[in-house]
Amino acid sequence: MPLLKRNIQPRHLCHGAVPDGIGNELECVTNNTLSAIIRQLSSLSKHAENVFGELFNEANTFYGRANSLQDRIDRLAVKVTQLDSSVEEVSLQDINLRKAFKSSTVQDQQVLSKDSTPSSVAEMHNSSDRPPPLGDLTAYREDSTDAMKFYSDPSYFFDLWKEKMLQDTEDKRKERRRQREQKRCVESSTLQREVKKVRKARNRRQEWNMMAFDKELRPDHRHPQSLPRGASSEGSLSPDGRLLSVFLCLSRPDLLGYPVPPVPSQAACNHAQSRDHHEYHSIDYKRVTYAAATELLAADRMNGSTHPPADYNSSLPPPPALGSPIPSAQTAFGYPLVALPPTSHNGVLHGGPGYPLPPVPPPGLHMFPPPPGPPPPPLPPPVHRAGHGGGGGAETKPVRDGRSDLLSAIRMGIQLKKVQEQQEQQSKRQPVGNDVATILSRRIAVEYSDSDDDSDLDENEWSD
Amino acid sequence: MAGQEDPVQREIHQDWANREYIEVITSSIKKIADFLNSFDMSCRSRLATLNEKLTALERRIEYIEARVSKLHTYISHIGSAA
Repeated sequence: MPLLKRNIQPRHLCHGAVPDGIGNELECVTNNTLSAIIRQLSSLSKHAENVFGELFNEANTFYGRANSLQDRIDRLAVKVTQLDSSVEEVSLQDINLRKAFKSSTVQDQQVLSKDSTPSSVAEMHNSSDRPPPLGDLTAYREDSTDAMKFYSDPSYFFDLWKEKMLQDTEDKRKERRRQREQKRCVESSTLQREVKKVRKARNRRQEWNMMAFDKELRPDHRHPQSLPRGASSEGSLSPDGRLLSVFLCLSRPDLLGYPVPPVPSQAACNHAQSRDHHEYHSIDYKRVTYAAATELLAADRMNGSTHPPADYNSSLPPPPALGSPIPSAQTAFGYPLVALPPTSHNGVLHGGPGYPLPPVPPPGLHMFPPPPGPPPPPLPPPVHRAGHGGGGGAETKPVRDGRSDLLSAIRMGIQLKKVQEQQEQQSKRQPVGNDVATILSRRIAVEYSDSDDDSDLDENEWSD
Repeated sequence: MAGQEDPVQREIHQDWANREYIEVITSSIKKIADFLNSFDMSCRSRLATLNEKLTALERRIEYIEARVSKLHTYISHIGSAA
């Protein structure tokens, strides 16, 4: 359907109401119609002037370009005739110094944007109804996103595409690095394989220890919904997941209280796995938040095993008490990896056991302010913990007071890390120009460059 | 009775005449609007072809300028060397 650009007003000639108390109504209608015709003619002339003005402006620009072209041609002709004369020019070195010919590939950007709308279309847009003033609600939001963006965001699709492109470039970079590392490791291949075998054995031991525990003490018992999923997810560890889990285990070798690492490690494994398993991610995200929350509660890692029997009586489950020993690694790995899943399935997140995750779905629309998103979850859980703490918290409270310094230190550490992550991400975004051309060029450079990735990317960053 | 009909009839006749007049005017307004639209479209298409030709010319001129300047330096160097 064609878009209405110019509307001739008034639309209906004879629809005006005839006032009462008039003798000759037919004449009245005729006169009203004639006056409406005159108004229509005036709006028609206004639109005609608009049309001719646009065409005239375009033709003017072409006239300017043609003139400049004519000047260049004249200069060229003069230069060509001057070729025969032996003019003293610079030496051989200068010929090599002069840059090679490159046609200027200026790409038109922002062709169809708000600024480039024709005046008639802008008038139509301005005369239409305004959206409700949702911008006033921005002051009441916890994360500093414009409240209007949830209703109508003109840059939504561009932001989505931009984040996807940046993420793809990052992924490709990481893949390249991994491939390079693997190539380097292939040189010392035998050692690598031995180490890998050892790691696999360890994992199985941990799994068996998990099975050895009574059902009550197993952390998966907490989530009845997660049991079918958790079981299948545990069985289906990919090589990447195993490597990641082993990395986490090795990063905290002193924490081999056996039930402890598998839970967050497998949570991390599920993070590292493909993003197709939405359900796993929803539960894993909860595990991450549990881990982040209860690391505030259960300070002592070695005493972690004593807490579960006590806290099982309370309503809120602390398998995350077991998961507490790897708090910082968890948050470091969990949040950036988990940032993407919440966007894809806002509806799945509600299927948990009534856990406080309200701040998560709203940022679901944004793929990349996850750092402001995840930071709220650790803060409300402590509040809820304080509320529920009266139930089973009698034993935890004295422990908490004793370790308050350690707790606060851990809290500060994690908060510091989150701020650092935020700052890192913001600093990463600063050199990114909001051009489709630069983003695409960067992406293509990463894809087609075999080596010297960083130098190519740097060049693309600084050139427009 | 005939006397009563005549003024009414005259009014109705006059009204019909007025309506025909108005109809003529509105149809010509529509013709003007149609003409404006088609003129706008044809002008834009012609200007677009002009734009294409201009850009092609500009690129050719850039290339020719680069060739000429390179030749210029070569020839002058040879001229100075010889």
